Amino acid sequence: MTIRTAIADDAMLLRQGIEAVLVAGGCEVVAAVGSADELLAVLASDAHLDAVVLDIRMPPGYSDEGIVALEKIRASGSQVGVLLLSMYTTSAYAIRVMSAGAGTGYLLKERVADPDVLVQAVKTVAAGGSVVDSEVVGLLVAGQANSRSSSVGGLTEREREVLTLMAEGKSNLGIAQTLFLSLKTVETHIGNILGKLGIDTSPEDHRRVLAVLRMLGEHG
Amino acid sequence: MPPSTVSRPWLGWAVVALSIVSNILVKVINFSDGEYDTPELSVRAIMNVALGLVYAVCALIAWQLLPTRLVGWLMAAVSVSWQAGSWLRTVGEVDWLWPIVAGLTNLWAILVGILVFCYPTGRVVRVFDRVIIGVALTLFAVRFALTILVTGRERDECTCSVNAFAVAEAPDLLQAVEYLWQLVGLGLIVLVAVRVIVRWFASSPPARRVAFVMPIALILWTAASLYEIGGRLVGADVLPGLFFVTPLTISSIPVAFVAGIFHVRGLRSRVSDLVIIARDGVDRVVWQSSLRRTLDDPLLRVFWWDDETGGYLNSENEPENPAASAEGRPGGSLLSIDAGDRPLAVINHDSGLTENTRLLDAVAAALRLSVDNDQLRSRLEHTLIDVRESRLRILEAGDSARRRIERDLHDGSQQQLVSVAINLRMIGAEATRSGDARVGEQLQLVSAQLAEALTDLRRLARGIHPAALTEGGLAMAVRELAARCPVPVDVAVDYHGEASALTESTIYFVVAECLTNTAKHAEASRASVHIRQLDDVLEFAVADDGRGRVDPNAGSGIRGLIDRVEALGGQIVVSSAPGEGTSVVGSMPMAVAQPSR
Repeated sequence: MTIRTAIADDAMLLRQGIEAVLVAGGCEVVAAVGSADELLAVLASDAHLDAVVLDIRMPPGYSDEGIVALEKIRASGSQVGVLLLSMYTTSAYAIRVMSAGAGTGYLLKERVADPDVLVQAVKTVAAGGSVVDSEVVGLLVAGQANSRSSSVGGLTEREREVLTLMAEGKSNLGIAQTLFLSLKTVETHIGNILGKLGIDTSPEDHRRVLAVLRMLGEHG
Repeated sequence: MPPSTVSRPWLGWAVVALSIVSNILVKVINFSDGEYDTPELSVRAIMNVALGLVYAVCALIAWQLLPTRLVGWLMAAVSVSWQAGSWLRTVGEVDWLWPIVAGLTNLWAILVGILVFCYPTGRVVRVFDRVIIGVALTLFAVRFALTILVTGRERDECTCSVNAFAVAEAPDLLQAVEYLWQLVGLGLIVLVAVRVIVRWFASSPPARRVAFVMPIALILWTAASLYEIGGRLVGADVLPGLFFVTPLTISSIPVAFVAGIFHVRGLRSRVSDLVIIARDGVDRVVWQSSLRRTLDDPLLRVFWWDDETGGYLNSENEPENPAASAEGRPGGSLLSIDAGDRPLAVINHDSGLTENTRLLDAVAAALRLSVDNDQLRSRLEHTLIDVRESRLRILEAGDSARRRIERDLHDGSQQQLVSVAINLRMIGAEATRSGDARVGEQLQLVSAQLAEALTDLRRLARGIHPAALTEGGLAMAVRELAARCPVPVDVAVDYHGEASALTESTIYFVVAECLTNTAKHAEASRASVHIRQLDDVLEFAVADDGRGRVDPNAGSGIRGLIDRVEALGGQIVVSSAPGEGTSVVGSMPMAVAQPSR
């Protein structure tokens, strides 16, 4: 089944590039527009979109219009997958994006140069999964590991790798495949990590991601 | 003008010493001649000596107090000539001396009259006064000449030798002159008294307060003279019990003079209170009320020059012409105070104060001081405000330039390079698909290089203007800084984001610069960042355990940050002793005043 997508980015070259990558990756691009408002209009008129790709910084304010649009989309009750792109990473964005609920993702814009990453991320959010850029997660984990007071310091090297992948939104299976581990081993690691960090286990991936991100971002 | 600029101070002392010796000596001689055989005569003699001494002492004080020498000399001369009558008996044997001494009797009365006119300025200013003095002196000269030329051997006071200067003997003429002298003298005394008393009543309350002792002394003297001379002229005897009244009133005159001067000095010392006001700045209403109190002039008004309107303002800051106010106040005088080339103020004061030039000089000086002080202060404050505002403007301009550059990078180069990267990838994939594996590999390599360039560019943009700060606040941005630092950093932030953007960005850049230095130069094993809010101040501390030796003035970025912190009203201290690590501790106000222009 083809994934039906729409794109919003104020830079035309990038819009075309993203469209080309998505089409090459087997997605259908229904609309490519230059602002968040236009995208919201597209969403309102087309109920069968699977995912939208949104630049965060767009007209008119050039600050966080993409995230504001995401929050409006979720407020309207739509469960469409939303992938947000940004030229820079900050954990603030990651936490806001994940707070919006399942089926959301946050990637650095330059990742779209790798067609596999972009298409995979679109597929993940369309399916209700979570995606967080590895740089944000790496930053948070590194910051925690640096801090003497942090409980992340008490994790093993392997557990830290697993934590990073968890925070990126990977499922248990995805983590197992990435690290070439058995699913059971990954589950054990995750149990240990959540126990050490004091995070409740949650069936939903995005809640787990959010909990990890919050833990990483807020406790210095 | 110091009061005791005495050209020949010894001369004054010598005259005073001479008069004291002469006063005492003549009485001793007279006593040894058996003059004072009754108690009344003895008391009278003692009072006469005392009077001479009082004048001598007052002369010394007057020389010290007054800028003019005249008053002191008048008093000294009274002291010397006072006893002329008593000396007559002793010098009666010397035929050339006694007529002169006889002619000088009663000279003191003229001198006391002049003294009264001199009060309180020490100068005889008015024409009327000068005329009276001229008449009295002329009369005295006539009497002196006649005394010398026509007195023979006969005197009541002595058994004298023959007058060496006598050209004729005319006892009747002499008698007539003496009557005339006493009559005119009495008239002059009354005139002087009336003159002084009229002046006293015509003058202002402050002036009256200054001059009140003198008229009282004068009234007493006049009354005593009227009684004594008048009685003598009509041939009545002076009541023996009242013999002491005349010397007492006469000796009260120099005392009144000196006391008045002291009173003025006390008034002048109150000007020092004005200097305190001057120091505290110019509140114009306070100035006026203080001047009124100091100068005892409840109607006094001050007008301040205003450069903007080119006219005077009253104490209520309303434009008013001082000249018009002078017309509205009879008995008022205007005192203009200027600072070299430009006017400062005009004081409309009681004309009674005009005589007291030194007091007004002091007032003018205090006022000048105050205005100068105020102008300097306000000029300084304006300059400081200007400098502070321009520093803020420069900072803001710098910040907006940074934001602009970051936006240009974001919207321009970064976007373009990302789309170039996408195109490269697509072409590479296309090449690989069409079997050109070599080109595909090369394109992939170029893509990887481009990705690195993009990462660098992203880092550059972050350093110019951190999105994390605007989007996530100071706490999160600082944590990200710490996370990016290769040296482990402990971060503790107790602050929940209410500070102004300038304050947050300043602290952010301080932390960024410090951590960059730590990573590059400090060889540290750990670093720490602490930020906490204390009421309306945000405190920050960045420290490492490296080798220290950071010199904030040695061209490092920290110097610019110190300037930045201080420009925004914060404080920052860098300590970096060799081997003891580096710590940068400071505080910033939560709210930074925005420049008004």
